Amino acid sequence: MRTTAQVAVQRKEIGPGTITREPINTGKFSKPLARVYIIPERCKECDYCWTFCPNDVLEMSDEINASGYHHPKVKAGKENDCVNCGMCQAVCPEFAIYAKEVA
Amino acid sequence: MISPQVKTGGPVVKVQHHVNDEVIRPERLPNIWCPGCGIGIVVGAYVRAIQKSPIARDRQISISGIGCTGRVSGYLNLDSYHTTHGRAIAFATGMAVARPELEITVIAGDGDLGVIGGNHLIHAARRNVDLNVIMVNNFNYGMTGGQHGGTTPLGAKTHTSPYGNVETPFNIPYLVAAAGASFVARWTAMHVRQVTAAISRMMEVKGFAFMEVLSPCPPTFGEFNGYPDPLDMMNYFKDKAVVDNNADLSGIGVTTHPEDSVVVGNFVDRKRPSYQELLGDLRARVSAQGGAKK
Amino acid sequence: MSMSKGGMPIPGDYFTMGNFACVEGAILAGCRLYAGYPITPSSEIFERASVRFPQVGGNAIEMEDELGSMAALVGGSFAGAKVMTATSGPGFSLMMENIGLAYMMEAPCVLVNVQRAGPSTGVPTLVGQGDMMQAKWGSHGDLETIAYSPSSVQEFFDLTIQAFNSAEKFRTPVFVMADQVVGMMWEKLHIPPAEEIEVVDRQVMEPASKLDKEHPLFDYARDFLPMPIAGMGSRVNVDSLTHDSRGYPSTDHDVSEILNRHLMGKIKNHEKEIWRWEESNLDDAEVAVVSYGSAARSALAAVKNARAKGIKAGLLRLITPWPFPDEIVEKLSRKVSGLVVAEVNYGQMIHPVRENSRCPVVGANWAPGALIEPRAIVDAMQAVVAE
Ligand code: SF4
Ligand code: SF4
Ligand code: SF4
Repeated sequence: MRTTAQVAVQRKEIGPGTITREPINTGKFSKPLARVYIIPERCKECDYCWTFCPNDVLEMSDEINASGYHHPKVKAGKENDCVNCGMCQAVCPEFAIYAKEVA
Repeated sequence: MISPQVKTGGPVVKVQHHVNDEVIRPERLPNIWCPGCGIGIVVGAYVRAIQKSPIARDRQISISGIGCTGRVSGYLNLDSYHTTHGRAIAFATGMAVARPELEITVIAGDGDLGVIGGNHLIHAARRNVDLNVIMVNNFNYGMTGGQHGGTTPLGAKTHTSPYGNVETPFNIPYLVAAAGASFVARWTAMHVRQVTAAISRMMEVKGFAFMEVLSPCPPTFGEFNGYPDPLDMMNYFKDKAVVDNNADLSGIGVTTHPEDSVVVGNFVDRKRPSYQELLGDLRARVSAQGGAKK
Repeated sequence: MSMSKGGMPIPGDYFTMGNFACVEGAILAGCRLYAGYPITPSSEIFERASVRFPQVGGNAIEMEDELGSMAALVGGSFAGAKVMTATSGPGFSLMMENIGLAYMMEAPCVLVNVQRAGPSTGVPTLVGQGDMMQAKWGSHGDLETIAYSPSSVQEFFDLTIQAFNSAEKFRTPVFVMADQVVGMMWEKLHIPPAEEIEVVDRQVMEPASKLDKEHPLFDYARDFLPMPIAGMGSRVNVDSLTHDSRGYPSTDHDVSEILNRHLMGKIKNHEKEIWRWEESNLDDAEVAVVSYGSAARSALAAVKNARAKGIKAGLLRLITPWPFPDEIVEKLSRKVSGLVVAEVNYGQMIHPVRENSRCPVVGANWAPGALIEPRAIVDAMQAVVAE
C-alpha cells in the first residue's frame, strides 16, 4: 500500500522531495466509509463537487434534471472510496449534495 | 459461523432533503444564482457555522442589501431582512443597538457594502458595532448584468468599462482594518472550511467582524476577464491563494491577473470595546448618576 | 424648572421650546431609540434626545448620514423598539429611500421634519413649509402616508405622541411636519400625568412554533397585521422587494396588487379616524382660509383682522395634511364663496384643496424664510371673494 505522501506526489499535489510525516499508529485508525446523497433538482452542474472531491469519487452523470443540468454520481468502482471528508457538501453552492457515514 | 457483513458506500442515493435544510428555506430552492456562483458556497458556510454555534437559533439574524448577494437572507430560515441597496449595515446597527443580545450577520456584495454603502461600512467599523459582516466580492455588479464597481480590478472589462477599467479598486480588508474593526479576514469561495471557521470566530468576536470572500462570477465578470467557466476562478483561487495571517494589508489588493497571487487569511483579531458595550456603559453611568451629565 | 429631574417627564406646566417638547412627548409615547444626523433647525431635538434617552434606558445614536439614520430606524423598529429621528429639508430628501423601506416592510417609526426655507441647502435657520408634498410623494412608488402638522409647542408635544400611536397602529412611518417657527418657539407646555396619555403598542407576531402553518404569515386581507420582531422566533423573511403572504419576493401581478392595496388600504380605509382638523369662525364664514403649522397662526390673525373689516372669514386648520381630509374641505367649499390656502411655500397643499373644492381657490404664498403676514392673507381673501 502506498503512503498518503506517495499518493500526493503521484497526484502532483506535493513535490517529490517534500518531507511529510506518516502517523506510525495507522493501525489504530479506520478509514471512514460514507455514502453520497444528492437532491438532483437542485444541481446546476457547476463541476465543483466532482472536481474537488479529494478521492475522485464523483463524476457527472448522464441524467439531467428538470432544468437540464447533469447531476453528480459515484464513479463505477469508487463505491467504497468516499471518506466523508465533506468537501462536496461544502463546495456545492446549491445544497444539492452531502455524504453520510455508513453505520 | 456468521459471515461478516460487508459495508459499502454504494452508488449515489437520490433524496429530497439535505442535512443543512433546517437552516434554510428549502421550498425556495433552486436559488436564483448562476451555476458556479460562489454566493451559495458562502451561504453553506454560514449555515454550517450556525449549526455549530452555541448561540440560540432564534437569536441568529441575517440581514442583506440589494444585488445577487442581497438575496441570501431570503433563503435562510432565520429572522431575515432584505433591505435597501447599501444600507444593510445601517439597518443592522439600529437593530443591534436596540437589542444587543442578537447575533446579527450582514451578508452583502462588494458593490453594496464597499461602494454605495461604503460610508456605513467604514463608520460601523470605526464605531466597532458588534456585527458580523460578510462581503462576497465578485468584482462587479452582477445582478444588473455586469458593470464595474469599486472592487473591479484596474483594466478589467465590464459593460461599463468596455475598454478596460480606469479606476483603481479598493483594497477592502485594508480599509476596514484601518477604520478600526475588531476582526478582519479575507478568504475565497475555494477556502470553504476557512470561511466556515472564520464565521464561527466572527460570532465570538465582540465588535465589528469583517470578512471578504472572493467569489467566482462566471457569466458577468468571468466571461470578459479570462475566467468564463465556474472552475476557472475556483482553480485560480486554489493555485494562487497565499495564506498569510500577518500580511501587510497595504499590499494585498487583488488584481485577478492569472500570474498574481491572492493573499488570504485572518488578518486582524483584536480586542476593542464594541459600540453596544460602550452604549451599555453609558446608560449604566447615567442611571448611576441619577441622570446627571457629569 | 426641570421637566424631568433626570427621569421620566414630570407632569406640570412649563415654558419651553417646541423641539424640547417633542422629545418629552416621544419619551412618554415609549420611544427609546433615536438615530439621527444633526441638521438645523432640528438639532435641539437630537441634542435633547442625547441627554434624555439614556436617562430613561434608551439610546440616541448619531449615524453617518440621513440614509443611515433612516435605515437604522427600520432595523431598530424590527428589534421591537419605538424609534424616531428628526431632520429638515436636505436630510428629509436623503431619508426618502428608507422611508420607502419602512413603508414596504411596515416598520413603525416617527420622523420629525422641522422644515426650513428654500430648495437645496436654502436658508437653514429660517422657516419654510416646502416639504409638504414631499411627505406624500417624495419616496418612489405609490405611498400612502400619515403626517401631522403642529402649530404650537403644546401641539408639537401632543402630535409627537399621536404620531407614535398611529405609527404603531398602522405599522408605517409617520411624519410630524413641524417647521422652524414651531420648533424654535418658546411657549407654555402642559405635560399631563402619564395615566392620562394614551399609548398604543404594536401587535407582535407569535413565534413560528405557535403559528398555524396553513395560515398565511401575512394575511393581506386584514388591515392590521402583527409584526415579526427579531429574536422572538417568528423566523420571517422581511423584504423590500414586492413580496407574497410568506414574505418571499415575487413578480406575480396578483401578489403586487394585493400587497400594494394592503399597504395603501390600511391607511385609506381608516383615513376618517386619522383626520384631524380645527375650525375657527367657520359657522357664518363666507370666505375661509385653509392653513397648517406655523402659517395657521398668521391665518388666525388674518381671520380676526378680516372680521374687523367686516369680512366674514374663517379658518380650517389642517392638523393632518396627509391623508388629506378631502371631505372636510369639500363640505367647506360648498359653504363659502372662496378659499385661500395660506402656506410658507409657493403653493403645495393648495393642490389637493383645489382638487376637492367647488369654489374658487387662491393661494397666499410667501416663502423667503419668514412667516406669511396676516395682511397678505387678508388681501388674498378679498381677491377670492371678488372672483
Ligand atoms: S465526502 Fe469527500 S470523499 Fe466523499 S464524495 Fe464528498 S468530497 Fe468525495
Ligand atoms: S457542486 Fe452541487 S451544483 Fe455543482 S455539480 Fe456538484 S451537486 Fe451539482
Ligand atoms: S451574476 Fe455573478 S454574482 Fe450574480 S448570481 Fe450570477 S455568478 Fe453570482
